[in-house]
Amino acid sequence: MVVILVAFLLTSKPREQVLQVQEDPYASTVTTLSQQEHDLANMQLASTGATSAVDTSLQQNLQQVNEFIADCERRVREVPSDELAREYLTNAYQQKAQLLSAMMDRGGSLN
Amino acid sequence: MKLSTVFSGTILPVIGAGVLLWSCASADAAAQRLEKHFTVKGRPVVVIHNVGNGRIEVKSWKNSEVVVTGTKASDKIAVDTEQAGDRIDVTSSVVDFTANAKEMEANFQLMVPEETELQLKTQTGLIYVEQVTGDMTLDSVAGDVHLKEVSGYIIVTTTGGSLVCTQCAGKLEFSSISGSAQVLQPTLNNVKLRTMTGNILFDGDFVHTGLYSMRSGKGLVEVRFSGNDSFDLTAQTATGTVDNQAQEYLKPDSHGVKHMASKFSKSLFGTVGMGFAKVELSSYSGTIRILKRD
Repeated sequence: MVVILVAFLLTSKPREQVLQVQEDPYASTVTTLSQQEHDLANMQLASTGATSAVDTSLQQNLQQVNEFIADCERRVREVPSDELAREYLTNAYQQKAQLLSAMMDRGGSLN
Repeated sequence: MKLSTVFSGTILPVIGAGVLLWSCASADAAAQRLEKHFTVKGRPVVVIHNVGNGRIEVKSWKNSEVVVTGTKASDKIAVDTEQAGDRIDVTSSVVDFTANAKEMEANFQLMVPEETELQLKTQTGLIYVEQVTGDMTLDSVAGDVHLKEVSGYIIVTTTGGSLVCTQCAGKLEFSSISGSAQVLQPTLNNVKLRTMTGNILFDGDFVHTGLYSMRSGKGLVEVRFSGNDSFDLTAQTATGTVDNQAQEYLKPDSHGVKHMASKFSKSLFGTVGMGFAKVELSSYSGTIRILKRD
């Protein structure tokens, strides 16, 4: 669900139009992902299950994705015309959405 | 359909239409063993979904039979197997959610016909496939994936696990967040490797008309080609570096395509030989290294 929503947000509007209308074309995507991450944190707080190696790996990878996104966002802010950085940022958002979705599924089935 | 089950030394009868629950007589016993035989007619499709931790190992033989052997650590996970024609499903599921990681371990070893399609999914264990021809989808969270002499349309997805693909042929797609990929001595004509923080190594020949795309967000992307190779090369990085150690082999593009390098990124364009294959390398902040192997 999150993956579909993020993919839609990233592809639904032509970039030129978005750039004219809003300063940050990724704002809605960032908001959606932040909300999902917040929900996931609440789910994990409510869980009584022990943290497994898989959960640890997923958490570590989420942290790496967040760090990479922060790096790309900084670059895109500094050099808005860097298409390569923009491409990596878009892909990173999609990967974060997939990762959060996998973590939510796992939280729902195992904890 | 030949179907026999050996479990802890006891032959169990077939239940229903080939669906059998792997259970055991004594709870919390030590590792319990499963062995099942499935006769197949054509090219089988084998699906393993391991929600527990553990290794999946698949090797081929000349027989028209799939043999699944395995162990599970406790009664807190169950293993179901099912055959429907040439489709064989093996699924592990958690039956007691108090199980710890050790108790959720299930390992599988399979012997399959040489031409077999595979869909394998596990959490932390190694996936190992050797000498199998057929399309395969392999998923792992933290476990590595090792492939040797496999061919087909191969799709590997991991979160943190790495891929080592030795003497693979056909088409390969790899996607990971922190996992690395090593492709060694391949005969692949279509390669798409994506990782966010892992490294990529491609050491082998480029097939004429082949398409090769390799991207790492932060890691090293290294390509080692042979003197006989023929490919067009594009290498781009936003904030990383391009380490061209093959200057004497890399000539300006011979096909008349004018590449427009972005002023915001470091780029390298060129042709090796006649430029029959197409190689695209990219990294956001890592190093892209191109060299001819000895």
